[in-house]
Amino acid sequence: MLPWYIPVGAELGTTMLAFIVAYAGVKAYGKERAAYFLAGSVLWTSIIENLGVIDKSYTYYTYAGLFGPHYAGYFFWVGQVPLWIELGWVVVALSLFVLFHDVILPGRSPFLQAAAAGLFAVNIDLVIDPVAVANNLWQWINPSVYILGVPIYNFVGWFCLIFFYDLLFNFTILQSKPVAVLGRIEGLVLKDRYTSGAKPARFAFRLVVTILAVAVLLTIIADVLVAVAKAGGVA
Amino acid sequence: MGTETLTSEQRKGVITSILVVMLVLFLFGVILVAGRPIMYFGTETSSVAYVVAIYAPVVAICILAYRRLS
Repeated sequence: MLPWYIPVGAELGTTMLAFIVAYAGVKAYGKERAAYFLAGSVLWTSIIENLGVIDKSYTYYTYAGLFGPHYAGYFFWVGQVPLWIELGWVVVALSLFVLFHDVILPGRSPFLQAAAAGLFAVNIDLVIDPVAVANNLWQWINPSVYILGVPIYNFVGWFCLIFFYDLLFNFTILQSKPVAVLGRIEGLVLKDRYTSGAKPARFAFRLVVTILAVAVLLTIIADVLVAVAKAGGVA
Repeated sequence: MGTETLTSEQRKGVITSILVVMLVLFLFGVILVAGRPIMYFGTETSSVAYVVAIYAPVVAICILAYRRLS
């Protein structure tokens, strides 16, 4: 067993970074939009990460019992996933969103900005995941093709999570008008969307609907890919 | 549209974001040095060399972003 300060340091350090990135988001996009980014990002990654644990791809319980029988491995959890994991996603997603939308590729295609942020996130994860796995912060348990102790599909997952969330936030909250199909669904469900005070409900609705829709779609695609890989003897 | 359209508040946000990316690198660097080396590399020296090589493009982009702001 590794020293206690490894899991505690990771949890505490990432939580502190989440506060700093929240400050960055507020400065870049204002309180309201930053709050939607943070809440949406936690929801988005909670769904995907919990599905990963339920699917037995990985586990976060390596340090369970470190501080007594009731200690599950980390202090704060969202379902089967430690909160700091979701916050880690927030940290990467928001800082890269600001970087690529406002400085590196301002005014360029949103798809290009999202793809660049996704690739950059994979670059960062080429260190995060191998270091975390070596130090038991989480453990991959699914049979697959591994590189540096990490399944290759994890890196595809990183790209997809950052790429889709970047687009999702951009088209639902950051731009004043949502994409047409979302606007129509919104019109059917939120009858009072033009009254004063309806804006928060509209933003929350857009974000939650698109997050759920894209998360379900990605899960289906991932399950199909895993099934095909298993049938072909790859996984 | 370039960085000249950013307000001073937005610039603070961007600079903080660059700092956050660098701090992510720092945090996992500390975990690596304080904990175990990356699997399959075996030694701390080769793990650190790998980390430096992988982090180089990230640091380069952060420097580019900071230079564009100033």
